[in-house]
Amino acid sequence: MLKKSCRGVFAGYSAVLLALLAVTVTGCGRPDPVGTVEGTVTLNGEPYSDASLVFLSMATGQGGTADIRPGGSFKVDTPLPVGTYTVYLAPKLGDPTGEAQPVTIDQSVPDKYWNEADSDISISVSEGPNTVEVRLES
Amino acid sequence: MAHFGFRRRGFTLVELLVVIAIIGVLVALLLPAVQAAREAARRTQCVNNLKQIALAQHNYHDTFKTLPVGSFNLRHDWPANGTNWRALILPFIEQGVIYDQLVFTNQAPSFMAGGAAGDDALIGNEFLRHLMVDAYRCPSTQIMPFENAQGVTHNNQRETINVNYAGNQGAARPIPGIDPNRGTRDCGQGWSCDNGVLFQNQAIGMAQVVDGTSNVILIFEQSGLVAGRNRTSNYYGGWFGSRRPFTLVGDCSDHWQTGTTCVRFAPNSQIVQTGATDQMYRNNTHVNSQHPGGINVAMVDGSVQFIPEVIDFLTLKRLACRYDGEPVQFP
Repeated sequence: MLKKSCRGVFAGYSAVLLALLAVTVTGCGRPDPVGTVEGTVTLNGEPYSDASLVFLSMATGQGGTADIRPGGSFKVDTPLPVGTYTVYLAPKLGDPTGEAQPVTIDQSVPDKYWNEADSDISISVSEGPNTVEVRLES
Repeated sequence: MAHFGFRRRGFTLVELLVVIAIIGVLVALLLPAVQAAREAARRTQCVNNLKQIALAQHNYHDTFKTLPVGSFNLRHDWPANGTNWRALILPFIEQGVIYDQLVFTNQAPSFMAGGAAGDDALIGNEFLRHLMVDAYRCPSTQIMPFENAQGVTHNNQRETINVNYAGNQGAARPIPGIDPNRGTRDCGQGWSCDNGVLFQNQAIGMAQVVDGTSNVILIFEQSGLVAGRNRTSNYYGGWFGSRRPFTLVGDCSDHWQTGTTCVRFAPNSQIVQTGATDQMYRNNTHVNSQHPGGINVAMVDGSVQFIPEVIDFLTLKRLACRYDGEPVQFP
């Protein structure tokens, strides 16, 4: 009789510990909603690919980047938290070695598209996949 | 069969396993707590370093009636031979011995730790090689003290210290209510700013910090990695100054600096942007740390505050700009 109740207590402990472990490992919160962003870039209606894109939220200062592939398509490598992002251009990633180099920008695209302060393009990212078309006009 | 009333009872295998499992769970619960306590101690040390640096700036101000310049170059052409605030405040963090040996007037590169063996580097200041200043290192950082990061331009072949604290140049546009033609400009190496406190070639006093010394950041922590790499403001090592003057008009395309940064992104951001954050000589190197959730900063009044990485972005910019004229509150 004693032995049986002991076993029952141990079994109870084990079950509680297992449950505790499960909660500790998996957690009980829900991550902030994020969305993936992909799309195309056009300059005056033609596909444009001679740059990379930066998405910067003016509310949080967070964002992401995407290299534009030949043909004008792009995909942001990390999912972005939902919100509004200013979109601007930056030169493609260059050679990481060597002396300090100023960057050269493509003069065929107006200056205003090359920084977050002057760019007038903004996109809204909602949860799940997002497809956007970035239209540049010169 | 002889019976003694009580049978000597051992533990079964299952009972032993259960006990071991319980101990295992307890250790698993405890270990993160121990690690957190260790990180808390490192963070405290890191905060203390910032405090000492801020106090040193105050003592500098008492002596010279201005704060140090963020960075400077002695010549406008190359090789520019200047240094940054980290060398200028050495006498005020009990490192006067180092300061007294420094050569400032040499036209050769005295603070540049670049160049392969045989090249001109650290001329007159060769002792800076492998010289450790503990107050300039955050114990939480993964960046090695004298590393010359591979695969990203570092030019620290002479292996001077990687400093984990960067001066506040200011904040990049757009800041609502501020004249966009004042205080900040992208010269081709990212936004340069002179609307902060420690910027290039000009020293300001506390009287110029018109937003109030409690409301403006003096020093940022910069001890984390960006996309797995050291991209802190330590180009040519932690002692180098800047190249070519920052100007609001005319050509300044080759202007860059070491030791200060201009706020363009949130703390701990991982954005690698060509011409802004991709290299250590850019002007918008990220402010970051290995502490959970944010970075430490020293304010101009000498206090040290924690800035969470989820801070309202405009608030951070207003804390970095010395004359935005808006009241700001710490999160």
